[in-house]
Amino acid sequence: MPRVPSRSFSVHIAGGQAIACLPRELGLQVWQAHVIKHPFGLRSLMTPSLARDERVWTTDGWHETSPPVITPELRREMAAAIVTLRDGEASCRVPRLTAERFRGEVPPDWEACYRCPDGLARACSQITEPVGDAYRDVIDATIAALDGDAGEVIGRGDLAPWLWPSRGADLRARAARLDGLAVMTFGWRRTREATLSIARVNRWDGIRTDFYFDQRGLVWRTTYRVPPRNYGHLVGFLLQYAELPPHPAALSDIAVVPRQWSNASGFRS
Amino acid sequence: MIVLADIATALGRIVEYGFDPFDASLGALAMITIGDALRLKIPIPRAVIEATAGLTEAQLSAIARSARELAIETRRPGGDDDLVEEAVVCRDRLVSFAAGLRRVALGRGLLVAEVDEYADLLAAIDALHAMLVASVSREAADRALGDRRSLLDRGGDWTLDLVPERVTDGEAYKTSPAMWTSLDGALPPDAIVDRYIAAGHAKAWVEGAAAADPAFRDRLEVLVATEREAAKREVGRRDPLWDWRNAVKAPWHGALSARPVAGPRAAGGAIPGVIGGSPARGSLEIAGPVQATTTLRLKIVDGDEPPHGALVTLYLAGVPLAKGEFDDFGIARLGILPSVELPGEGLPLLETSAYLELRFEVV
Repeated sequence: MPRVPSRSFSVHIAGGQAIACLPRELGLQVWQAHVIKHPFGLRSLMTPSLARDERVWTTDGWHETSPPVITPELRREMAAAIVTLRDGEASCRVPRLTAERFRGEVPPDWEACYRCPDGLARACSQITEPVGDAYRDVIDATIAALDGDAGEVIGRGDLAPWLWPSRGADLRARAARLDGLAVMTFGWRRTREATLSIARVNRWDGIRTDFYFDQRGLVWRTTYRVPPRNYGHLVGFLLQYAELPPHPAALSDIAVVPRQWSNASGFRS
Repeated sequence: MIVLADIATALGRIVEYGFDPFDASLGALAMITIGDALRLKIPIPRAVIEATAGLTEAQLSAIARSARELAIETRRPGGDDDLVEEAVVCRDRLVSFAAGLRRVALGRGLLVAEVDEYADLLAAIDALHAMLVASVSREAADRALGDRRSLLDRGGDWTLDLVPERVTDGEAYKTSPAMWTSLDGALPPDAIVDRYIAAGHAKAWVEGAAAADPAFRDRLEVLVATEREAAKREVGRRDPLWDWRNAVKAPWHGALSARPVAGPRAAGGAIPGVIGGSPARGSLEIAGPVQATTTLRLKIVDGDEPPHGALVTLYLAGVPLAKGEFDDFGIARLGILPSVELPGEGLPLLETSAYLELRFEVV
């Protein structure tokens, strides 16, 4: 069973308190669904924009992260291997898995991993293990940057004004100062069934991770990427915080950023 | 919930930045911030207007282009909650962007329609809106808006065009054209009508509504005629593909209905960005919150230019709304009559794609 993140972390908040972030044991189908949807780029292939009907698997840009979570060559080899898998009568039902470009109607059942037979899912996860590990490493690195003393508590409203450049600033240098930034905020996520408490981490490279709160602490929900197109787009992404509850609680006033980033960027100066 | 103090702080940072060096994406962010403030009824400091007054027309165009890219790069969410969030947050930011750009343009003495790229931006926003109407329920959008939901509470609720969840239950809504005809007699929202005129989308729904509702039929006729006239004038603009008269054999009235368009958008107090009517057409800009003392600028963009000093009366729902007179440039500055009770009174002009027919008479 995949454990995400791979180990326990602890995010320090104000008043000497901390919130645990515990590994979540995921079913293979659930984990593979995330791996195939995000790093493998199925979501990119299956979601047309107004600008283009033809989609490419690289839109979410998991091949551009540092280090890359996937490469085109790796994807090509793995996808070719997955489609040959058989478990009795069953084979992979994910549409267009080997395609790198796709134009046309989106099949309604493209998130087929959730209904994959156990044996097939196990074999698939063995093939995609390097990519799955790299994807989990991103999740680990995201929370590790805020773990214990590595995290620095700031006010929820502190970051936004800092992101605006000063008059005459070198915008390229300004953008470089965002490298390493990850901002965790606390709030709500509304679903059809319930309103849930969450923590959200937005990173400088467009990677977003959401955690649910349960009785024990933070539990991973998802990690996806919205590649930043320009400085303004990145600022908008970073400030898309967890929704503030109408009745503020202790956590709703704060955010957590990496101390190392805070020191290196001049955020506190 | 958006923290008002955060918006006020951001407005201050726009002043400190001063658009130096200029960056279109930061310009777009500034317009969104200004628009957020307008929607939240936070006064825009004079320093902000002064900071934006230095933007050239080319820079305003670049900013509009940057916002257009946000719209057209937005992906169709399907059933992905995270993409629903990206799409509806983007849509809502564009509401603020349009309001901010309008305010900034007016501060420079421009009508927003005079900003290059603005028409393309509006078309992109409308297309994004239509995409959301066709793929996201009202409740799903409401859930996904996060902190920006509080902006809707202050007016300009574009999510009213989205179909309630009970209707969108099941995949049939997204895939079956027949579903369009069973929406309990609901009138098609503006975005759907726009897509119908441009490309014949939702034909059964729009034409069915035109056959059943004389007021909607009148409005559709005006919109088709207006688009056809625009297509004649503008190189590269397509003639509308669809004309309900070709499909629906029913009597119609050529005169513009002077009453507000039926439907939730009008009831919600949206205020028009464009006046459709005859004998002339005009564009209307409203700077800031609409109050009894608000000055409207009415510019004739089609038809005979009225002579300097010609008096104009603007009607809403058959009731005189504002009076003024034209200057040498075909622009009338209209003061809203103190006795008028506006729908959405006190709200800023938010929704540029909203059509709410007004009749104006040049005396």
